Amino acid sequence: MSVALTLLGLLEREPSYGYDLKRAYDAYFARGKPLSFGQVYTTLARLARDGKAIAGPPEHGDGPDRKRYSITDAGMADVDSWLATPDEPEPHLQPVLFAKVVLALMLSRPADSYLDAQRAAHIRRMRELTRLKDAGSLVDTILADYGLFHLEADLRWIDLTAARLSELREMVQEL
Amino acid sequence: MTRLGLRLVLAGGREALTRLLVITVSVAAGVALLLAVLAEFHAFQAGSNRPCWECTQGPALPGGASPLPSRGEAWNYSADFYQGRTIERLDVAALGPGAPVPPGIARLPGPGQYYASPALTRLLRTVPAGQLGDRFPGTLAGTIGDAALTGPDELAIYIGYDPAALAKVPGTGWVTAISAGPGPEVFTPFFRYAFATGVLAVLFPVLILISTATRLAAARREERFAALRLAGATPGDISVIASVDSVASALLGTAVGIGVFLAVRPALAAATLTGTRYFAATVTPTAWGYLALLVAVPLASAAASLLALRRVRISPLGVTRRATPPSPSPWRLAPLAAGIALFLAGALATSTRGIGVATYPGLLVTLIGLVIAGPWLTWALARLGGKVLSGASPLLATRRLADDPKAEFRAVRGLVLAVFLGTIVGALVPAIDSVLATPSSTALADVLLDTFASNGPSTLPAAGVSGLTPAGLTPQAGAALVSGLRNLGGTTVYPLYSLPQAANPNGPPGSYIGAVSCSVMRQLIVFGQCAPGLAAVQVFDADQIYSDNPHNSTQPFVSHANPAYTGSLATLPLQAVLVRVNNAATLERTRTYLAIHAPPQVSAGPGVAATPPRTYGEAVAIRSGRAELAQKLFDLAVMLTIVVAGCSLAVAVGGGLVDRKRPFTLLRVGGTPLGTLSRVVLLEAVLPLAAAVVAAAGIAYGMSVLAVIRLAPPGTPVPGLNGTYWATMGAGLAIALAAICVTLPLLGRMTTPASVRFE
Amino acid sequence: MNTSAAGHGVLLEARDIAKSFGQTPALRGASVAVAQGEILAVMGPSGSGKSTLLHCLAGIFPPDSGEVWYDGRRLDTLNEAERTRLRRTAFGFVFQFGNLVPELTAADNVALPLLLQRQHRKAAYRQAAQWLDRLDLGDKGTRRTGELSGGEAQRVAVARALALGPCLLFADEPTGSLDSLTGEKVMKLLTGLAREQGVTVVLVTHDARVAAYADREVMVRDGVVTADVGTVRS
Repeated sequence: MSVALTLLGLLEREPSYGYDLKRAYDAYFARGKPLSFGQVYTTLARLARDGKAIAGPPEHGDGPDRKRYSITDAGMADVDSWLATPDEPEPHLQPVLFAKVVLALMLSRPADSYLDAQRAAHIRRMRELTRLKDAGSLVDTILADYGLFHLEADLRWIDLTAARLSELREMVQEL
Repeated sequence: MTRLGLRLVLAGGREALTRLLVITVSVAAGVALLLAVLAEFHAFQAGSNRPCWECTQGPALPGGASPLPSRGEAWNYSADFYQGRTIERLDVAALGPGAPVPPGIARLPGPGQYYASPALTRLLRTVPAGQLGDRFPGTLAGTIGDAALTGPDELAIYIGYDPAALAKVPGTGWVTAISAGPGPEVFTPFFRYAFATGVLAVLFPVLILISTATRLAAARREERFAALRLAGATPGDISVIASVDSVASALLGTAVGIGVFLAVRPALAAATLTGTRYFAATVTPTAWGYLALLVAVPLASAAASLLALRRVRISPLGVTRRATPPSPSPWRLAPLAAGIALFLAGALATSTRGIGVATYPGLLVTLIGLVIAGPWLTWALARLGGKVLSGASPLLATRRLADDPKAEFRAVRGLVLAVFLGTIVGALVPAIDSVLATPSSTALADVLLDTFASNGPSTLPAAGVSGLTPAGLTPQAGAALVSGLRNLGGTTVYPLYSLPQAANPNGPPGSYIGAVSCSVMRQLIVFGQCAPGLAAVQVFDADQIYSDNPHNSTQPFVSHANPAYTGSLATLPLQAVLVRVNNAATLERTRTYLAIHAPPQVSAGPGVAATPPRTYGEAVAIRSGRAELAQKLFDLAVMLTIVVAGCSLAVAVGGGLVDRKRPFTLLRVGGTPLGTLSRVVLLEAVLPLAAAVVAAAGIAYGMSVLAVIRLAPPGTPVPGLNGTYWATMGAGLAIALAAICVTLPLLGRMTTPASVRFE
Repeated sequence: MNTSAAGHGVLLEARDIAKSFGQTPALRGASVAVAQGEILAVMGPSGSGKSTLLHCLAGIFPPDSGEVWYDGRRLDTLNEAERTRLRRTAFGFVFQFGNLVPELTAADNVALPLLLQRQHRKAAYRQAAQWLDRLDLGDKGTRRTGELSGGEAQRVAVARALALGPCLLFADEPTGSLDSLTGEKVMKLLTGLAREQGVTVVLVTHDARVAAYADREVMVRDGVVTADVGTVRS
């Protein structure tokens, strides 16, 4: 689960303080496992070092070290390619896929195309596994079946979520 | 539930409407025919029940010089003939005041007067007097009313006489009261049986049709019904709903049928289905008839449809797919074999004396056996067809037939029965005709016979009519009669003379009582030939020549063994005369001449009408007329059965399409042409039909041939099947084929590939 | 506009076809091309129009508008008789259920298309026996359809579809009523035989694991062909 990219995506929405980013992340993506402040600030610092984000000048105000971060062009490019590139089809992709869908909706990107692309990748993988079953031994077949069923489960989720996109979009834009 | 059923009926769409129409039309046809049968029977009953004034009998009038009684009347009833129609002739003379008046008139005709029925009055006006009117002395004084007649075409005449003159006519009796009861029921049981058969022949096919259509309705609606079952309807509810369809159409059909009958009734009243025309007012089924049908037909159809649905179990999951039923066992042939065996046993016991007692049960069991054996025949033919025929259509058809032959045969059951009955009758009746119309009687078809000798002890004055003796007409009167007949033109006269011993009725039996010239015999070859060289021979008691059954009477009575008669024929009394006529007018003029100059003879005693002179052809026609009548009625029943069975077949075939909808649709999707599937449907109906029809016709024909061989005298030709038979059967099978073809467009619509939707 | 990815010629193509049933549009401007020799999966949710697309491609009924091309000729303008003949000789069909005529035996069902093409009975049944042997159903030849299991029946259906050596095989949810293992057997058989005989396959399914047997898949959504995933060359 790429926390860095997720934070970067949230940053692309609007320049934010670390505190705000953590709150947003916890609300959408944490699911009972909130990020620690330390992790947030470390990630932000790394992003700034890599040139994906820029820290603004510290502002006086409510607390110490309140820096406002903004995304750079390089950062935006990273987010773009991350969203548009389907992940390698493996089991337990759900958190990542979910993050991508929500962010895409937030950023008004074509979430349905991303889902389609991921879908295609999944099918490709399923095709490979099916060929494997033909050529391989019984053990290979059984293992491949396992993978196939999980990929199918993912596909089902992708289909269902694709059907719910408009509802999800409304909910996301309210926040 | 019934309301729901009605809604389903009305919202059923085009197919439900077609089904409604088919049942309505068939029921209407059936009801109209039933009403016609009832009406005809009612008319027949009314005719039979009219007061039989002809049956009136009275003791002989005192003969000789005794005075006549002073009350009552002299009554002489006889029958006359004109162009194949009987004339009921009453010669009557009042003996005193208050003499009973026969029905239909206000008072007795006086001497020189007569009353005639309307039909006879018309004839008298149009026919030349020499052929008819001269027979009746006097002038027309009025018309006989309907009370005395059976129908508007009946010929009857009451002739008034002077009492003294009438008393001298042989056969006159003394009557003080006229019989008012109905006449003897000679043919009523037969007709009642025929009518009952007619009712059944119409009723059963209609009920079979209704049950088939209901089953079809249930099958087509199985999804809807399954849904209803899921919603909690019981199987009983489903049955009620499915029956509403049929009962509604049956009610509608009954109403339409009544309408059709009312429209057809005038034509029916004018028809002569049972041989005579009845008064139009009596040709009606009466209010009871209408009511009975209005109630019985819908009830019967409700019963039929409920019975039909007993076997169709609609579970909440839809009609479950049934496993392949086992193939029919060869034991199915057993009843058929038993019936044929019974019939054979009865036929072997049959002779010209009577019909063996096992034939009727044999016939019935054979009929039932045909229906039971049908599925096996279908199955066997399907298996054979599968091996012999090649191609896709025969494969599909024969496999389907072999799969469920019982259901396939059910569709053609009615037609098979119709063919069986029709063939039996079609073969028997011409045989009966040919039995009666022996070659010899055919040769004598236009030869008239009139006899002048009394056949028994006569208590009447022998000289009552000039020239009449117990042995016949005196030689002078006889010669005058013969030359008078010859002078009519168009006649050839063959006289038969009495030997003197004929005057002694108590003489030894077997003695020669007649004489005839050999030249006459040469012209009447049928009756035998003299030994060569003789001029005249003596003949035995030639009783058979005087019976009215040409079968008995047209046997030779002269052979080489007859001894010669050496006397002069001109001195002998004239016993009988045979007259060959060249046309109908000559025949009537001959009859008129004989009626005037040689009035009817006493045959068995006073008060019994003598037989009027008839040709052998007319005698045959009367007897075969009854047989032809029977055939006409049977043919009608067979035609009706075929029509209704044809509708049943169409409905059954249409229903079968329901089962095939999915596989046939997919076959068409896969590129099977519609023509192939149409051929399959045709074959599936035609194969069982052909098998059963051929079997039924073959067995029936064989039985008829056997019956005729046993019953008829040797030399009767083997009965063939005449044109009427082939026409009826051909029409029936054409109707069946048409019924099947009617369902073919339905096939196309039901299986169109565009209707394949699997989502 | 979709590209055919296999590099062989395009055998069957739908160009912007539309079809409505009454008021309901099933297809609105769908286009797809099928390359010679490939196995194409047509996926989509229920009601998307994928079966209708198959029916139009197979000439079962013509679309309301648009063109269907088969082997360089227009398919949708042929009359019913010509399309029937084409379906009989050049196409094969396998459906989810009901493929076989219930009262025929397995051998009869396979021989039926051969008999329809007026082959002699002996030859037709010999070929049918060969097919059944190939499917491992040699001893089931005389069994009636009702006595076969679901998987056996579908295998017989595949044999029947391929009996006349068609160019195209159309399969609509062929394993829809089967369990996973039986379904796998049937799909293996179908794709194996098709590849062996060089038969192009159009496979309509909503099941991804069935679609995984194909070389390529397209998505149908709301009457339009949306996604087209390129072929993975094996």
